[in-house]
Amino acid sequence: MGRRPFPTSRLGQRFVKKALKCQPDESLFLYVNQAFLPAPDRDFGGLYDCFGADGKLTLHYCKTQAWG
Amino acid sequence: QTTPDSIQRQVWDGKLPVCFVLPEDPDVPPLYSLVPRVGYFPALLDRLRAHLSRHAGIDEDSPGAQQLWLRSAGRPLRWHLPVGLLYDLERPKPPPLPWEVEIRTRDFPTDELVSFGPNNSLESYFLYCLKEADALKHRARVINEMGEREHRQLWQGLLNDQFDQFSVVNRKLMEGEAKYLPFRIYQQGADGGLSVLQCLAKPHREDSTPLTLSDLLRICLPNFTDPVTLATHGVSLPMETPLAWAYDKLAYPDNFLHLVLQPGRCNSAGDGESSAMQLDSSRILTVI
Repeated sequence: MGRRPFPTSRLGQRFVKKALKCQPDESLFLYVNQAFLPAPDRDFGGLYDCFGADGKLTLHYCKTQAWG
Repeated sequence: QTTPDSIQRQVWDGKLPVCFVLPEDPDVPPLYSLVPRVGYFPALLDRLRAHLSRHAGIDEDSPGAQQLWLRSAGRPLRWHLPVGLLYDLERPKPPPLPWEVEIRTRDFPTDELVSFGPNNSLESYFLYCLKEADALKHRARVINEMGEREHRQLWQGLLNDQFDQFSVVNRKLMEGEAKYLPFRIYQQGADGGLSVLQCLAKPHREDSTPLTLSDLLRICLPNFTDPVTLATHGVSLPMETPLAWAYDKLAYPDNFLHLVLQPGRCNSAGDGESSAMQLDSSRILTVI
């Protein structure tokens, strides 16, 4: 699979970046179900409703594209 | 299934006349384009840059051209959403045609807009939409079984307006029983804010009858009592429409059914013949 950059996601930029202590200019990719990046206007609540289980929403993060 | 006059084909063929203007330089002639409703504005960036280069003296590699963004009615166009959806979301009502869209070369609103840079990032984004949809329908099994070539064909088919090229692959994603149906409900607020609702909806109710749009609203907005309409591709849908039928016929190429929530009741009882199952292609054609 070739590498494909993904546009900036507000979701990744704000809360999670802070939690992971990322630099502001570092890219951060958040994946749901180890398969896809959520659309930029998604909120965590909506993602949890659709893809959460056992009271948790599991996201995988990566500073480069993983499941591209 | 996909005959030339089928609903899916007419949805695909729907286009909006758009007039791109450059307010910062009124001497630059507008660029007119018939833009597919199911397409994306960032796919036009190269054309817009070429236009600015030819007529506004803005070099295609300059920061202004690279940081280009689009505005309508004073608000940034959230161009990660399909063109037709953006038009249908305009408030207080869809603008007169041709739709005047402003080109901006400064002050890219990084807080509000996704930046689609080079290297096929729009294609990436589109594929992630498909993956999410398939995750809901088939636990992503169907899309993961496809190779890169088929993924590419989906994107190229959309980009080049090749319905058959797109459909031959998309058929695999659209067929079979779906666990949950991918949909989103949008409501544009008067303040410019956009609410996006997405939740889990199965094709059938507990008693195995088809889940309708009424049921969907009850699931997504349980305390909502105002009369509302759900519309897609500019067409209001009767509330008794089965969600699975609407999805099969009216989903966008990204495999989502994008529904716009509007106040007021859909007048599906207008004539005795109209009902959900008879939402025929002629009605869609006149609206699109």
